[in-house]
Amino acid sequence: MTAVARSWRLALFASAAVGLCSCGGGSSNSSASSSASPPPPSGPNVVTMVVDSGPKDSSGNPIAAVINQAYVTIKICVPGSTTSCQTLDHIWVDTGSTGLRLFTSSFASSLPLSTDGSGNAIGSCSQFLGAYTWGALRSADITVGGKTAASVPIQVIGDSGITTIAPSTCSNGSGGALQTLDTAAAMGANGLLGIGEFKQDCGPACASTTPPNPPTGWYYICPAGSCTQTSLATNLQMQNPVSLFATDNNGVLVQLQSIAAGGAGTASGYLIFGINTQSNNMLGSALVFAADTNNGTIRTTTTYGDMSEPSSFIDSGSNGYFFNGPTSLTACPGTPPNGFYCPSSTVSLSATMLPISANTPSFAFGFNIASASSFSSTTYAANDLGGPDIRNPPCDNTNPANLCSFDWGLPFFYGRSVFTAIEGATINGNATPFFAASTP
Amino acid sequence: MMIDRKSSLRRGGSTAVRVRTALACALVAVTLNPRIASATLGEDGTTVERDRVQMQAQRNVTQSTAYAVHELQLPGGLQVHEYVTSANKVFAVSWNGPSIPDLQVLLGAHFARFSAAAHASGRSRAPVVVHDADLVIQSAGRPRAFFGMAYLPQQVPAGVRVEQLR
Repeated sequence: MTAVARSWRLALFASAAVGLCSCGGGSSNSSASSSASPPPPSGPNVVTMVVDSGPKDSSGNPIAAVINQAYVTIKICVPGSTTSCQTLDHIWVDTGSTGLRLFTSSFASSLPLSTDGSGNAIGSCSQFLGAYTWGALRSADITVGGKTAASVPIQVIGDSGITTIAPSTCSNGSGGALQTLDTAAAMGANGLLGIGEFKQDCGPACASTTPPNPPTGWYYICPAGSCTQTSLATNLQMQNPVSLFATDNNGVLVQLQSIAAGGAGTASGYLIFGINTQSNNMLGSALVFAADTNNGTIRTTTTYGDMSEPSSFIDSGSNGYFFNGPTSLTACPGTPPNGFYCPSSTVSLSATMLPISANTPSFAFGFNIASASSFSSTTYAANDLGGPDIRNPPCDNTNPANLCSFDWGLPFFYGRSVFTAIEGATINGNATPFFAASTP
Repeated sequence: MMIDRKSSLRRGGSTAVRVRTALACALVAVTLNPRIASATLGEDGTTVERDRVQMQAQRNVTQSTAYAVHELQLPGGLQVHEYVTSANKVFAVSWNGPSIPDLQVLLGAHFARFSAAAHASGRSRAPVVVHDADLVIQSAGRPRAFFGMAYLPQQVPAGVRVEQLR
């Protein structure tokens, strides 16, 4: 294990994580991947990623210190300008949502405000289970690495262009049941870069102007003071910046280095734009798991817990594996519970990933779950962190009361190539949206 | 551990602002929709109609031996099910769809425990789960694919298994 622990630092400089041996193994298998020992990816479609302690205060101390959040640096500009720009570090890379969400600032306030036909500002909401973001839509040019998306609608959280109080249909209750991610400390990031499977965050459902009307919790018209729910054309909604790049715009590849059991202070890797568009983003032998075209989910089966989770997904924005494990996986103590597993010793498991509506390919990915209380306060990257999902057996995707999910969060990404393909394309014969992952 | 670090920072927010927020929203709610009151889980079956109005939903009722299922179709593909005993008490609610319905409306008096769990969790992106002897709430999924359920274990009719509710 010490050899592996040392080797990951080397991996940082020597290569992407693809094809490196996983943390439990002592040998690498060069036949498993098309790129067993590749040179570090380079080119305008590549940007480095880091998993670390996140944004720091003026004294250099972490302001949030959240484990397993992956970041990139981006540049935003007033549309069309090459000089009115701001560079932002520690933007959270999220393959599970869509669009760029930033905090208000004097610069952000200089970006043009999006309005409806009557000149009213537009309020944007996004719910993330325990939390939500709320802010005004503005537009910006977004540059990540060597790629730029022009005039992209983005969400500016805390924007003075609209009321900063979210509607209750966004916050879940007038007192705000969900956490509001309205500061970098609350989010653990200076912004959220949603580069998931969809071109818009809500999509056609929110564009409907005839019954059935849009779902709650997405878009609002905000004349002075209050906001009311509205439909919004898809081109005015929050956009996936990747799909607006001129090229390499059909998805993303994330390659994070392998890390050893017990975690690491930091980890690094690459965010690569496009899938099968350049030599550095080929699917190769990665397995492709077709996703639901409406909600982007795939399936997972296990021999424990829920057994079959038809609403599963891979998500760099989740900081653990969230699923129902065997009874040996005990939840951490505390009331209310903190939502992680705290087994008395590390538990080794596997779970089988499947497309949404077919039985091939299928692959049993192995992983470990260590006690969440075992990580040191300076560990920010861990491949063995997990927590319980809702327990709802038997899962049944035809029964709206009995859905179940397996959330393959950031721990899944270490030592692996993970592709997230954007809807509306066909890549190497595979219709999108899909997830693809290298094995093991 | 990482949770404590995070939530302690989060408490830096202004309580005063939160109180004003609640008051402002309550006033708006009363002004715009006087039919809103407390809500549903654990309450009388007639509150389902109040929820239907509040959520601008279509309602369809299916009766089985031990309970009735009130299916609410909300705008944009959101679905809510409320399960009502023969004694006319809502003992369970479930939801699924592209966003999370207003759980303050659905959970009523039990909303505070959901809120506490959502705020206690250091993971903004992970399931929110309450598993108490008298109350179970579970909320999971992700944008475009949320789902969840809440029920009162002591109020579930005899012979009914919660996991078999439809």
